[in-house]
Amino acid sequence: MTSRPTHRISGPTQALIDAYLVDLEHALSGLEAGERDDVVGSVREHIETALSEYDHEPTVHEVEALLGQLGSVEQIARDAGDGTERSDRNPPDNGSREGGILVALAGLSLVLFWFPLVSVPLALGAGVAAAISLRGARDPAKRRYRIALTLSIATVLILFLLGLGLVAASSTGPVSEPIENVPAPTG
Amino acid sequence: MLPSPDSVQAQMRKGILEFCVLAHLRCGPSYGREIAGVLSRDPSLLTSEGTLYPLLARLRKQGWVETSRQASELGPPRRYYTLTADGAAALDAFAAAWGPFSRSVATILEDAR
Repeated sequence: MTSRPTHRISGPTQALIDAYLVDLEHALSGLEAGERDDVVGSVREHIETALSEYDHEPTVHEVEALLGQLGSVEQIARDAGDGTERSDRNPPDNGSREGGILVALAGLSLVLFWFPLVSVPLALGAGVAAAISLRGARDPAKRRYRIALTLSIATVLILFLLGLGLVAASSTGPVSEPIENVPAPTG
Repeated sequence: MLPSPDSVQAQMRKGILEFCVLAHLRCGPSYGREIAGVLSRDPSLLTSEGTLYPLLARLRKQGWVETSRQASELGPPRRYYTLTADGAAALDAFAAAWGPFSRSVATILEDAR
């Protein structure tokens, strides 16, 4: 799937480029296939664009200089690795872990709705924390905060309706039916 | 072991360079070699042009930039990178933090002279 640059490239210069790209692909073997293809494809495109800017067939020396500007494949792989490590290490940093904890707490408050003294503070705490954290959060943390907030609101709503039902039931009291006077049987 | 100026710069570049890329893209869509050309004007920002591409791949994965292929009058079609709304928001957040942060560092260094 290699698209050739506009200028004709001689065998040795093309071999240099191909060798560089193969080395780069090997050096990036630690990356996901999609990300590796993306990086290698972009570097290939960079080379092709650079070569198309020459008004003559690039010499081996010029191609070497171009590859030198790109840097060693080890250096590119090191940078790619740094980013991968960072992105692997950091997702919980953007609130994923906190979001998960809040979902668990809000879920627990819903399960324990029969014990309002426990579930109400739990739901309120988780809900307020989720609402505050929602601002400025990014996915997937944002999604978790939303779930936590929804669960908290559901718990509070259920308890409120239950409480309302209980109050209504206790204030109404038993209904006494009017006593009908039944005439005494004659004969 | 004393850090060399190069290693200090390399440490500082991490986490900052991506916002320089986003800042450049705020001016309009740009392709890899063009971005590399702008950043490598200052060697303290980009020492090797190839290291830009893992960074661009990460930005795309994060949804901060998106790509489209456009024909070029000169040479092969080019992959243009465009700043997304999330990328612009991330850049704003960085820019808001960067001013006070850099001033604080400058003040501390000035005081230590």
